[in-house]
Amino acid sequence: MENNENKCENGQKEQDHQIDYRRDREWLEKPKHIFILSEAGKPIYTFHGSEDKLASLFGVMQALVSFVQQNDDGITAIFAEGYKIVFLVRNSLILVATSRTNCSTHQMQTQLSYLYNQILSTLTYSRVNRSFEKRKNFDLRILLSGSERIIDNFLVHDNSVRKVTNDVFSNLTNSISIMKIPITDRNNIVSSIQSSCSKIKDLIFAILLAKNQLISLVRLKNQTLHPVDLKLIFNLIDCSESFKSTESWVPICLPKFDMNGFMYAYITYLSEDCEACLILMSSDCEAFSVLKEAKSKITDKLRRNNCFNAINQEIFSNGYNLDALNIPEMVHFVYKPKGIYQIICSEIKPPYTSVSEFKKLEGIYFDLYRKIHKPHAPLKLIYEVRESEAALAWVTTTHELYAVFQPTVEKNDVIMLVDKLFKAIAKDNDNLFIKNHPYF
Amino acid sequence: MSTNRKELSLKSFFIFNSTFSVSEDDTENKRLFYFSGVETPEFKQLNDLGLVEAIINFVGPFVGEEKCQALHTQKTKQFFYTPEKDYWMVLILNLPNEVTSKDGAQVSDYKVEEVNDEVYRHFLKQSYRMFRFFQGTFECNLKGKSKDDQRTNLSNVLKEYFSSYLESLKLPSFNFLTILQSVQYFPLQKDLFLRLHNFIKMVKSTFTSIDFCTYFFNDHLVWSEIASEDLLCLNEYLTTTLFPKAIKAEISSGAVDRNYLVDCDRYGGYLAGKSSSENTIDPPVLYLHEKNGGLKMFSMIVYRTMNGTFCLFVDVKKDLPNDFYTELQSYMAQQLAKISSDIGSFYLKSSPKTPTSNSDLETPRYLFINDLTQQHRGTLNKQSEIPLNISNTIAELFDDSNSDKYHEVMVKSTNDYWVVKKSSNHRQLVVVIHSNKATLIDISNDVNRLFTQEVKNNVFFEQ
Amino acid sequence: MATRKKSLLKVIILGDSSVGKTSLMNQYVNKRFSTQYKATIGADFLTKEVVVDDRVVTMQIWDTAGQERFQSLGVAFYRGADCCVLVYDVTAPNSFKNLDSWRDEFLIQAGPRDPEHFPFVVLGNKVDLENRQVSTRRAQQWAQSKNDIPYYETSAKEGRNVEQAFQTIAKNALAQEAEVELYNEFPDKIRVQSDGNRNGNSDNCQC
Repeated sequence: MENNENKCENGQKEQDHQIDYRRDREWLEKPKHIFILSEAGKPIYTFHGSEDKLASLFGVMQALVSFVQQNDDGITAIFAEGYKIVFLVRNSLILVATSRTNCSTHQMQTQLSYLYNQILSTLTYSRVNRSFEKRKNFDLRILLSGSERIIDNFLVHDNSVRKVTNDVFSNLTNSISIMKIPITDRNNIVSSIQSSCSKIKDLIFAILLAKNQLISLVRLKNQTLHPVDLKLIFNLIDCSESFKSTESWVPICLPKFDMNGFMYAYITYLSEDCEACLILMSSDCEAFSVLKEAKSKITDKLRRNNCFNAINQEIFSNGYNLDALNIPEMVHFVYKPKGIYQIICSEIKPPYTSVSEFKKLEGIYFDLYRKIHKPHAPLKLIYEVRESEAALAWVTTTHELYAVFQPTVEKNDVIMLVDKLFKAIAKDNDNLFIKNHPYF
Repeated sequence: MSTNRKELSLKSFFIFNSTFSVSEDDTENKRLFYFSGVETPEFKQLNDLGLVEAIINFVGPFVGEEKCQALHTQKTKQFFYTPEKDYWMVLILNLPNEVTSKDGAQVSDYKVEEVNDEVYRHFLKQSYRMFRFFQGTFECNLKGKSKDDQRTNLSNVLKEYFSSYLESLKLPSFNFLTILQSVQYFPLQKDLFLRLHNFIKMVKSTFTSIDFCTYFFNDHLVWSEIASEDLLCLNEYLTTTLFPKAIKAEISSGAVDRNYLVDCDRYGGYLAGKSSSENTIDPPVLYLHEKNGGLKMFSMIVYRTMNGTFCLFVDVKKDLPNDFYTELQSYMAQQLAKISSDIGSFYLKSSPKTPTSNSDLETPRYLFINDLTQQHRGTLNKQSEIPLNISNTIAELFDDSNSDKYHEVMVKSTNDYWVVKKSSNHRQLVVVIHSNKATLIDISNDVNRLFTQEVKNNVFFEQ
Repeated sequence: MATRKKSLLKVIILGDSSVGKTSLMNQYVNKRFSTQYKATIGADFLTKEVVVDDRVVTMQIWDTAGQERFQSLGVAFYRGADCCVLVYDVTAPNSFKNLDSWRDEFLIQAGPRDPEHFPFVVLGNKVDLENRQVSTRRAQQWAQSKNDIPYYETSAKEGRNVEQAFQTIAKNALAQEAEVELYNEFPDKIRVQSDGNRNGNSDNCQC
């Protein structure tokens, strides 16, 4: 035995690093890991690395979950200095997230439950269940193959791994970012869609979006769409460039709408001169040609009604501009009306335009959000001053505001600036938010 | 529909060292101490321990095993602390729980957020420090020839110390003060300070076997010559064990009567030392830190008079002459009584007024903390009736702070408490104000007023 | 199937303690890859890649602990296994006798779909020792009587037959897997309620 070990020592070192995760520093030091496994401990997904090489790690995770379960309890999280590991057991799946950031366990759980929904949206709840009922040793990767990149895409966007974008904050607040469109134009868009589609049987939703922001959501059969489902649609569109070049017909399960069935999505971009994405969702799997026809009607009407201009203007703008409102001491904000799942964010300006600085901004918001929404001990207001910035989180009966100021700002001025912002938002309210939807 | 609430409780507390087990078949050797308050089968103990060990093992490659701190399950919170290499202390708490019966079905709601991790992690840490204060390190208790003997000896010491410690434990009483890790400080006027200083110098030069001294007035620290870590332990020992005993004795002997000077000997006396009084215990032997970080054993003599407590530390290796205690007492009794009584008058004049009734909630309660000396003063104390959510909020504010950089945070809770924390240059100030009308600016002004007043009034910030 | 991802097999190792399961694993998979959880939560986990008929297969090996206190974990650990390896010590007759109960225990707790044809492999370990007590014939007979379980005599110490045994394990487990075709079922039709008010499950969801 000893001989054997010595023999391997040098020759296999290189290989060790590839096979044994515990020796792979680069892998271990990733800011975040996501693992999904079956109840049997078989790997389904890992964000970094290959599931096969991590097979023993997946085994350990299943064993930990089982060990706690035998005491009629459930493992929820592990904490180490600067490190968190969160577990979520749903149905026949075990989801695990690790993080080196300061997001709360609650946020990490929300994220895992989103990933669970993401899997359902590809397979449906009943299909996942049936697969494992038939064979407990089933390798779910067989059914998921090809859709891992949708999960990857969500995770990349979930915090600023490489991009500087306000998308992070809609995930943080579990909301949808709304594109600012003058209300008359928005009404025009909605009526253009409605009039082109009203007679189509089984067409349930028509969604128009651009740049991960919602332009309009038309509910043709008066059904409601849950923000979680809408987010799944956003993510699907965002992760595939191919929708830009060709029209697509995609089955998608919306777990909050019906976790056992598929909806069929006709997905296409409006036109070359207006890069907004139109999604027509039908319960009829044969509806492709009908919807294709509807799309060209919609496009024509939108063009005729000058809606392309209105949309393009926002596509090319950088977002809500604080300097234009004469609130220059405020560097950035995220605003969410209470009780609805919509947010607006201001344009990202220096110093936060670099990835490293933006990560700090993200950290500040994560921190504020975690503290102010602490279950059982929520707060109304947090105001924090550090050497590099002042930050405010404020939850009232009508809205939530998260904002960052220059560090030199006076408290008196903060109140005044926030007041100014609220007035500006109130004035623009009709253009900033969508109000015809009961839940969101 | 009915609701039945179960409060937070201790599930188990154990100490293990994995290196004491060499094979699968002697895992019980890892376990050095296990306590749960009830009879717990062997396999259950080993399973509790095994899970913690596995968690530490699992986390190890990602951040290093020694950084592992806690495990949360739906029903428990488990805290880990490794004070010495390979030794782990584990505290497992049953979460508070509300069971609601509705239509024959029972639904349990475990109150995860009511239990602040920081507080209990500090508690675990402090319980180790207290052990070390009285018994030395785990390692130095490995006495005996064989490995088995050593382990058994350590096990016995742990059992003796921690069993009574845990039996008298009252869990829900912990709050943010647990995590402050500092001693309440009472600064003196300059001339009083110099008098005390001279007095101590004289005592030490007259009785050369005395190594260090500390002086407390009531439960406030006035003078200390020992390491701040040891001071925390000493403070805990005095305030939870020795003082309550002494105060009881004083009340029964009438010492609260202020006509003391005529007969100071009668009211002064040894709490720990050698005397004819039944209130005197033998000087406890304590482990104190030396400058190089090592531990050394000292006997502690405690003399109390007029609410002043004078602790004198003597290296255990030194033999004290037979008449040491009587000589010492006759040398210092009168002087110390006089100084203590003068400090007492000054204390009455200058001590911060603690708001006493709940109707007075709008008066700011505050606390100044000097992180360098681990001392604090102010009106926010154990008696302050602060709601649990605020106590936890304060604990959390301390959690993520690095007090050497400038940082100010103001927080308003849903039940209209404002909590403000300012820190810079290792000084921290915490203020709690209850007000539903005040604005950010009002509160900010209140805090600033307090701040300037406190800085002007005392030496605390200049130390 | 050719384009499919590599396969992953969950392999459970069972047998009395001290029959040499861990040594077998150490021989087969380099010791440094094992994770030390056996004494704490009842199993060690090892990963090994093998090539079977030009296919790369990853084996996730669960080396379970024999102690009483881990018994209740059987259901959780055996769940979804692709193959079970039964190990006994040829110098310890009792460990051979216990194979029956290990096998039964596994079938009860794991509850495989087709217990009759579930892939087992039996290993008689420590054949390098001189005081052998269980004859090859006896072991072979037993293995045959249980639906022809493949039987190998191994020596973890000398590395004898270990590779071959695991090759068979992988092969038999894969054969089982191939029998199941991918059910290309029709998805359920979506439920759309006639009125706009879907039962308000969106209120209590955690999103």
